[in-house]
Amino acid sequence: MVILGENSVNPKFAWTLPIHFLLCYNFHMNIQELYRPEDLSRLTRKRNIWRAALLLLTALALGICVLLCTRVNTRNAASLERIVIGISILSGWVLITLRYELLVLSRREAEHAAHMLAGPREKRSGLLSLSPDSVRIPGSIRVRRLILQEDGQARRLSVNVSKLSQLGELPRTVTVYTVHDYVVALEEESPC
Amino acid sequence: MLKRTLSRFHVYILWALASVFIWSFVFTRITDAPPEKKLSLYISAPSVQDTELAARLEGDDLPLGIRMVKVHPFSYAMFDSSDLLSADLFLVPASEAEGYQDSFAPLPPRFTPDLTLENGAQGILVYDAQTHQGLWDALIVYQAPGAQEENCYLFFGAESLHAGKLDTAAIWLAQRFLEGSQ
Repeated sequence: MVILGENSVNPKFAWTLPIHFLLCYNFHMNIQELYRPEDLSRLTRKRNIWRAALLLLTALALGICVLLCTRVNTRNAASLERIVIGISILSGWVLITLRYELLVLSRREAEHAAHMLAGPREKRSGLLSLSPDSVRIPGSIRVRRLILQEDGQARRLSVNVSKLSQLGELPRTVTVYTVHDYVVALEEESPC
Repeated sequence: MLKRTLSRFHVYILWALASVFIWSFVFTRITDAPPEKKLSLYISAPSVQDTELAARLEGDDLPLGIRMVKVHPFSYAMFDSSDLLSADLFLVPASEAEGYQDSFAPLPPRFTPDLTLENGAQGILVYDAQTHQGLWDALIVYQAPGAQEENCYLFFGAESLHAGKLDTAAIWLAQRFLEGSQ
């Protein structure tokens, strides 16, 4: 015996369930996820590669300085000291720049992605449009501001600039998933 | 990127200062040695090419236990510094010899003195003011232009660690200096 609840399916149409499931399944597959776990592992791998490269460069610069130190004698001491100090300063500046521009930013990108994947999602629908504002969070990712017109109210959202192209043509009416007002996924409005 | 780079300007400046400080310290350590392992010659002259002179005096055959020869102008240290007081050799003009005589010693027997001070310290003539001839005068300017001409003498340091019976490295250095090289 089948007990029919308010939202239960009439047994008469039970045979349509697989089709209905497929339709809905297809609908869920249309959700455009901006952050995926594999992206996070890719970012982590990229960060580790940069870290190894920087360590290698540091070791190389230090190795050159130490090698020059072993070549010091009374006659060349002053000139070698100037050369070693020069190498140290220049390589340090290059490494500081690379560290900030590559390592720190890729780490922040990975942290941001992890945050987006783990955070509580909210679902909102409305007309999504781009705001002209584009800002870099100090020491972190660059974000683009978005405006979502939702029930006559404008809500300010953000999206990682590197994910902007995945949003498609804007403005348009969409359903977005957000984590702390960052767009993490979107789907087209659908009667399903 | 330029804006971000400029925002880290203080980091670049700090790194440059740290590099200068750290490597200067390292080079001071590796280009110096404790007094028992180095021979030092202090020269009171208007101009000295100290690095080149030290390198030439070192040659390829330093005495056993000696790692380096250091040549310093007098301006390198105040006269009361321990480094200066324990110097092995001094090269000073005649007019300054009396003032510093307590830091000088009698010559070892193998040398012939050209000057004897009141306290018995003895010096060897290395620059003759009458003939304007001096040892290593390509590297040492003995007389400033327009200054009064005077002889310069080489003295052994009274506190030298290398002028005893067991350690004769200071005598080796004095001989190397007196042999001259142009």
